[in-house]
Amino acid sequence: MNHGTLIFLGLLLTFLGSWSGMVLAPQVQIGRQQPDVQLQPLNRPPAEGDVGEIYPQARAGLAAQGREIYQREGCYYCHSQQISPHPADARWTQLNRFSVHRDYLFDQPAMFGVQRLGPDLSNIGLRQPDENWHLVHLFAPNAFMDGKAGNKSTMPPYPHLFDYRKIMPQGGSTSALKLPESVILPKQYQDGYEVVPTSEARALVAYLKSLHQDVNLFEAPMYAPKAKTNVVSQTATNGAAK
Amino acid sequence: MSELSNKSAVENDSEPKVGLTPAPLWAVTLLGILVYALIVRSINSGGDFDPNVYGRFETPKEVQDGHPAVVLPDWFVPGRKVYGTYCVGCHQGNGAGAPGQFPPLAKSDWVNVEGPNRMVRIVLNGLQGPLKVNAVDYNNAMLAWRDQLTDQDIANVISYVRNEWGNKGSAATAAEVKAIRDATKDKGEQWTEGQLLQIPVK
Amino acid sequence: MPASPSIQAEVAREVSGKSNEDSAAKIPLLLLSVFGAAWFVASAFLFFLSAMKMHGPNLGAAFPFLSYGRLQPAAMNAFLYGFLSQAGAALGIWILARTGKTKVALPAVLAFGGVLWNGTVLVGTFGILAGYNTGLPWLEMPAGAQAMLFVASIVISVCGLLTIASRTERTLYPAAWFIIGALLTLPWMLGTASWTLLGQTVRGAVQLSVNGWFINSMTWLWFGFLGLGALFYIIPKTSKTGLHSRSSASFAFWTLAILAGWGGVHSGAPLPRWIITISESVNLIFLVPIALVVHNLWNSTDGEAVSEKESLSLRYARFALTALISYALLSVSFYLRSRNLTLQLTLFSPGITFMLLFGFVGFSILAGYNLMLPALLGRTFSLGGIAVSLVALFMTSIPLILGGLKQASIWGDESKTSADVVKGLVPYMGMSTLGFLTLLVLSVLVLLRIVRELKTVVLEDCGCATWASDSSESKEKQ
Repeated sequence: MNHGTLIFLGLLLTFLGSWSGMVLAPQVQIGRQQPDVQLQPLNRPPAEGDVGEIYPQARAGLAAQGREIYQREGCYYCHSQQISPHPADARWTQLNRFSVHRDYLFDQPAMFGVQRLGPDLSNIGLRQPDENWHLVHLFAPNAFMDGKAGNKSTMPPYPHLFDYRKIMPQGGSTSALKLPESVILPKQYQDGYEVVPTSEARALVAYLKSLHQDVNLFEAPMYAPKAKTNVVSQTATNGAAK
Repeated sequence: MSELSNKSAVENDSEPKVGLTPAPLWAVTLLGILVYALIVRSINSGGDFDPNVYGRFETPKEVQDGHPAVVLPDWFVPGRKVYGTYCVGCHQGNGAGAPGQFPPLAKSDWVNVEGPNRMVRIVLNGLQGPLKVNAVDYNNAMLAWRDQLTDQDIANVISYVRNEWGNKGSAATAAEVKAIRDATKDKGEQWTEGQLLQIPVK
Repeated sequence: MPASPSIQAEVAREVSGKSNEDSAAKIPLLLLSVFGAAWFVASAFLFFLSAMKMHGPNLGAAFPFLSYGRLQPAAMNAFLYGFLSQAGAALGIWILARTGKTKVALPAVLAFGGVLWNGTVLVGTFGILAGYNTGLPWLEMPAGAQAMLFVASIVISVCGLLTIASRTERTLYPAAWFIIGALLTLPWMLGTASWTLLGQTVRGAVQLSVNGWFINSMTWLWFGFLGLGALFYIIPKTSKTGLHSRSSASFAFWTLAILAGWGGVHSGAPLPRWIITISESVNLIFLVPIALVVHNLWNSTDGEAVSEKESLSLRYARFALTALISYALLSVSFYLRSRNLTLQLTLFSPGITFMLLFGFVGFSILAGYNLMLPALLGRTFSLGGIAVSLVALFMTSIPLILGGLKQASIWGDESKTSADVVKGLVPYMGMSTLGFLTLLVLSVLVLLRIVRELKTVVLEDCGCATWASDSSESKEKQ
């Protein structure tokens, strides 16, 4: 091994080897998948005039902007968006279905996440469809923790996504947060102020509400859903996704 | 001046030599075994390199079997055919209807009820006037299908609608439809919301 | 007064002979080393801040750039590209020149590459803090910075490769293989990954596969090879035994080159089963080349007694080998799907990654600094700090690894909620925060030591006290 050319060629070959295996092969095999009509149940004969849900769908404008905020704030450093086939994941995400390639077709880049210091968010849109809950949680993450027995969130608050606004004599803003009593505002804002989400906060929440991997797919069948989904939450999610 | 002598010591250091001991045999053997194990493992439990085999499954066949075998009920295919011919124009292929005009069937609070009693009446005689579905108001008219559709057709399409698009409901039978058809043969005009609400769902 | 040091320097040049003709070549290597050490401080500081956020999430909440999600990627990128890459490249090119008995080629171009690289990492780190994160682990610097990094990597790589091409000693020393490998493949990896991921040529979960491939390739072909190149030079040189086996080194080199890139996908990833199966198996095969390297180098350490300066390098190198083999043994748990599924996305992976990146690569670099900097500056000194380094390594990686195991057990327990995860991790987080504080102390000690020696040399060389003290002050600010 005294010839540079030999080392060069050898390295080129080994490099191309792993590139073909981990980049090219997956791209050729699944990379060109397109959104498809997902008939439910799946293995029934198709017929003319059949319309099922098209999945996945591109996120609506606001939710797509929200994904950029999610990326900017590095949310993916603590929250994953991938449900593994391990049974415990089904319990945490309240949905008995693992994630597959098709779930991420429209996200560039997709927010798979690197750690799970907080819960997985693949299905947060199903688990928590309440917009005000999300906004208050972003503003003051400990608002929903009882604070007893060390129950404290380590999530940082995101006050820069919110504005303090003086309540007008004719009444408060309709979009102001409905804060629970446990949230204490800074002293100078305690009297006559309300907290109003910026468009960024609204976008981020729209994105979170658009997260749902609850469509039964051929490669990822959904077993008896464990989610306590009711009609209201279903419509809320579908509304955000369309 | 100790500084200087140290300095030359640094610069004049000789470069290290290389021994010619051959690569240990254990490493070569171990590598061979592990690579062989990788190949065997990939072939045996690599999901046949199939793009549709993900974590929980081992083979493409298991993915097929992973879906609970769907034995389609007798009414499904004919019901969908009737729907595709008579209903799809207003209620849409996905059962969503049209805002303000045609109420949705998918996840509708008129469809997801215990029995098909009211639905059969609507199909037989039609419906007109204001109507509240899923807390949204609609106002339009639906035609009567009494003369175009047989009892069996109506039973099929209602069973289909009550079980498609995430709806869950019991199937209707031709006998049920016939009973209602006979009971309402003198009705003549379309139903209104008020009249229908008087009729038990089951 | 000023005459005396300058005369001394003249004498020094005459005595050592070599240093005069090499002085131009030293500047780019010194530049890379000093800025590398400065980035070590910066990244340790960012790591410490982000660790603090775990205990007081409200700290600095008014400043968006102080949120965990921005500090953590900034720290990681500064550590990878600012410290390890630069310091490793300087050390690698120095070793190429030494073992090839030649001079650094195109020193001016190399210096330009170094400045470009620093500018890029600076822009990139501030970009991440300012919210221009690309959202792709290890590629988080904004796309523009990523492109510049690619250009700078080509410049540095070409200078390194020209250096070894101009060697006067035909036989390539094994250390040189690893460094050549690292320098050759760096632009390939950066270029391919940026083009594929930032250019959005792939969609869906293929992105995860590409990202995993990039991280795994960079870990072994760039950081791993630089670390191994350093160790393959330092250990035989300081122990005076010579390298135990050339063919064993060659075998390890090619095995690592083939395996790199295949092991980056964890078991729960939303990718077809065959990719995951291969990736898991490769994690086990990595044991062979690593065991081989450790066996080879450990057999090279039992030589005659060595001087104190060299024994420090050797001690650093021994600890680097220990960290490497510990990493390999711990990462075997990724071979078993059941373990992999529970440990993925916990603190276990950052824990063992840090053990590899700091314990193995970082320690190899510190060992190399301890040899290279005295040679470059023509002075005898030792970096010291081995105790602090060990404390920093233990207190950062061990709590993260144990915390990861704890996290996995909470995650598998039906009765627990996400609040329990946080509660269970607090003691481990506390330990690792202290660890990152120690890391910060270590990095400051290293930087101050280097700057002090540099200042002395500059003062000796030009005899112009004011200019010299100014310049070293500005270095300290980095």
